[in-house]
Amino acid sequence: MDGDAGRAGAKGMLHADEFDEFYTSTYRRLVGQLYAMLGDLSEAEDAVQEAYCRAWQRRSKLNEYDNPEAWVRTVAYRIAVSSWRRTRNRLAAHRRHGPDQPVESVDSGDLDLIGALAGLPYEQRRVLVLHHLVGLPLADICRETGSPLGTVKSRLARGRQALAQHVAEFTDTRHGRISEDV
Amino acid sequence: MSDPHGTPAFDRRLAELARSAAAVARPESPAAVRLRAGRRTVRRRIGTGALAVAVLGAVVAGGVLRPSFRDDVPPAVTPSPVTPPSSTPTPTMEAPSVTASPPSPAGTVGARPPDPTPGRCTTANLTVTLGSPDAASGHRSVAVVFRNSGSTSCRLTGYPGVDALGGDGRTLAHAERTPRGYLGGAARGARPPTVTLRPGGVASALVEAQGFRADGGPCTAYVRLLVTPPDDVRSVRLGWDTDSCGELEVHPVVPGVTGRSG
Repeated sequence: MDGDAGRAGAKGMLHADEFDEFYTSTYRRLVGQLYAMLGDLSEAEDAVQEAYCRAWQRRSKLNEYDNPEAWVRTVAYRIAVSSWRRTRNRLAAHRRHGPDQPVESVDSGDLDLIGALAGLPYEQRRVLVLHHLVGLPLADICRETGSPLGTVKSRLARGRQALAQHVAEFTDTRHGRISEDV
Repeated sequence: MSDPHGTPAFDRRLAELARSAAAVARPESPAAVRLRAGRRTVRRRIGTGALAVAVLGAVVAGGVLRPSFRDDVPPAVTPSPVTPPSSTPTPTMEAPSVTASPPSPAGTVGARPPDPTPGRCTTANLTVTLGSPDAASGHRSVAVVFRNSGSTSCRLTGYPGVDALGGDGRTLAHAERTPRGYLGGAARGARPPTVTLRPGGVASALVEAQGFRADGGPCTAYVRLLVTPPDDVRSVRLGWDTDSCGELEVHPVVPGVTGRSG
């Protein structure tokens, strides 16, 4: 995956055309990343959309952020997870058991991987995606998730372990690349 | 299968997954995002208290606190009627500068070039119904279909008035008038067309909403739509079976039954 774009050089208020360019150049990539984290395209798109909305609202500060794209991704993730929790609470109130909320997924594609990812706790999944899809080094993942290194490492390790059945290179966890990437 | 010379298979599979999602993403125009954000800033100042209540509600429902004054169901919170933004929403985002020809008709009844002869369609000579609903990416839509039930041609231009009502008949939201949205609307850059309906002819306007509220409040689904044809004062109520509860929008009347053109 290509690296994060949208690093704003100058400080100061973000102008409409700068925002538009930032939005246009990063939207799809972020939807893809959020989809990989969430497994639900509509959630991903809603959350990303909402996060851009908030980004524009704080355009006076956005340029000061080190990496606006990472900011949008982080905010989108939080939005999605908090709306999930709400939905779960609601569903729990309505029916005591049953499947999780219906998930709208991308129809074609790696159903095996989609299914395997769906079984992961979402924080593990998030870390896996940040590392393997976004390509962030562990230090950046710590910053983005607000978690200490030990937590990030163990989430990554447990996530890989859980996927081992479906992902050949994770079968032998000793060959995990965790330590190399610090 | 790990490829020793290149990217590990997992990275590639994940990238492929993300790409396939990104490919079907349907971004709004950046201008629409900015516009929505601007509107929200006004609303947020009012909405903060409501949000705090909602958060508390979620905590209560999550079982952290167990007070006796309210038991469980978060959506049971009665929605306060939505106050429309005080400024009248402007129907145009970017003022269309072209004298665009009406978009090509998707349906059977064509949009002729604006023809001054026929009179306006009103509820007296219109049958108003809802078309089939659509949904994508958290967005919901339904077309309001106007059929000319009179014996002479009539014209429709612009936006119908649309309010969403709850089960108790209270108004939950006033639709924002936007040229187009996530799931359709008028052709890009074109002025809302004037649609001439021959007897039996149809036109439609797309109504969109979302399955969540932007302020994070509890989602009380709309039950009915109160529709007023453009330039009319009388309205009709139409049942809408939906789970949507926020961001109600309506797009201009266009030819055909889908509420979409261009």
